[in-house]
Amino acid sequence: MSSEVLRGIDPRGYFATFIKEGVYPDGRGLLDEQKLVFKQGECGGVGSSVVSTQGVTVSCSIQASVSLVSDAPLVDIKIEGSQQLSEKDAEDCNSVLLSLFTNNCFVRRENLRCLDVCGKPLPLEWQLHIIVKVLSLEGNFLDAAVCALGAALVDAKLPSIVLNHSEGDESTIEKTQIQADYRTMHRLTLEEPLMCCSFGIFVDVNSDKKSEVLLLSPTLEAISVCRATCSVIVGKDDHMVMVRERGQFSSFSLLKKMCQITAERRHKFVESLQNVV
Amino acid sequence: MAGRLREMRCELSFLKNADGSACFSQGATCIWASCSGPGDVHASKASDEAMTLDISYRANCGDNKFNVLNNIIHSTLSNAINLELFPHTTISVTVHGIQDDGSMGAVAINGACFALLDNGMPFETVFCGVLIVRVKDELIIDPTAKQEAASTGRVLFSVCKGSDGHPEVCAMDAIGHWDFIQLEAAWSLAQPSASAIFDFYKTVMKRKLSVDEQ
Repeated sequence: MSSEVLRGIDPRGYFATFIKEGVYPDGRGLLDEQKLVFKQGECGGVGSSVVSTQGVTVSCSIQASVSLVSDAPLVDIKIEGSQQLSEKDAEDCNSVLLSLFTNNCFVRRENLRCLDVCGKPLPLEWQLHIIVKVLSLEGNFLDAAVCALGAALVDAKLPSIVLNHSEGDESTIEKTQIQADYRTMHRLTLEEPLMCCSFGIFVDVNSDKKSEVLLLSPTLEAISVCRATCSVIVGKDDHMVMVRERGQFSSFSLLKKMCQITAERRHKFVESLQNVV
Repeated sequence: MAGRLREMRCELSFLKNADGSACFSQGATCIWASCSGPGDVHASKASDEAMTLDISYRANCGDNKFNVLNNIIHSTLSNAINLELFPHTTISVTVHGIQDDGSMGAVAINGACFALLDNGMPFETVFCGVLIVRVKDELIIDPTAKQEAASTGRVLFSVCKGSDGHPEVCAMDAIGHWDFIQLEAAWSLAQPSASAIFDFYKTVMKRKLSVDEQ
């Protein structure tokens, strides 16, 4: 009773009491990992996955269509909004995920060429239409969305394309000349999977030290009392492919710790994906 | 040249309908920023505890409904301005990208700060933007559009003055393959540039206020 009153009246002081002891109010350590559960291939499309972690559950499905080779973007992402995720936040996350594709963090553009039965590239490209749905949202959306996208791409199987159009023919490729052969399926050649972790940086204003405490996967309630939040996405060679930091903080070396924690989590995710395949 | 900012120019109060306005350019990149408020707020957006921020970056072509810079400018303003002084009001900051020759994110943040300074908002700390790109393992501050297109990594810092007067990170967007050492090198490169921009703020505001004394 008294702790709930304190929680409502002085949330910062309430959290400061626990964070000083190195735990969250629910007993979890400040840097303890949360469980990540994923499942592949149950949401339709050429590839799909459901990922649940840190209070966020996201489903991701990929539809593919054939297009002529061009400079246009080959990937479009639609994040279906919910009551918990506002349209503005959905647009923001959409641009983050698209920029990961633009920077070849998931799959290189040349690896989206259509292949014939023998695996030879054709002058056609796969266009991926990715639909991301939010099933529950109690933490940072990006944490689950990045893993869901990676798992869905691993799950994707694309048919062979039979093109009745000779190589020297300069006329336009007609729609009737393109056929899909579902007997021979191909998997995409992907970059290494990515991992996203969210952090909060808490500063106890009443303390003398005023040191910055790093929190892994803060809850929405904890985020409201944090001075800064940061999302780190780590990819191949444990390099940071994206950092999104909001709020003021002075210890730049905390970023190194964030990168290490995210890299450790990514290694576990990669092992799990390999075990499934 | 890799370590220097391009020439900065600024003109304040050039829009008579806006409470604060700034025309700011770095090299050939130019933006117009305007700021109006605190003013009336729609009931659906009103907050009883703090002022509502309405940030809009508009490029001079294409769809202007959403832009990636809105988020970082919004976050920076939330930290830099004391919003609790004006509950149940809104402030509208609009940044128009007039000409883009690289570093548009940094220039937009700087222009927004100038518009707010011109408006006389109660700052907790001034802020500025610095964009750093990596081209073949060389870090370039304030890149041109060509350098930005050739880059393999980019990081946009929003820098504010800490309580001790030194620059601190207020927001950061990094994209590309970065390890921590490179990112730290970019940050150490950004700090003197931020100090130079803060000095430019002081120079411009001195010039603006000296006219009033005549």
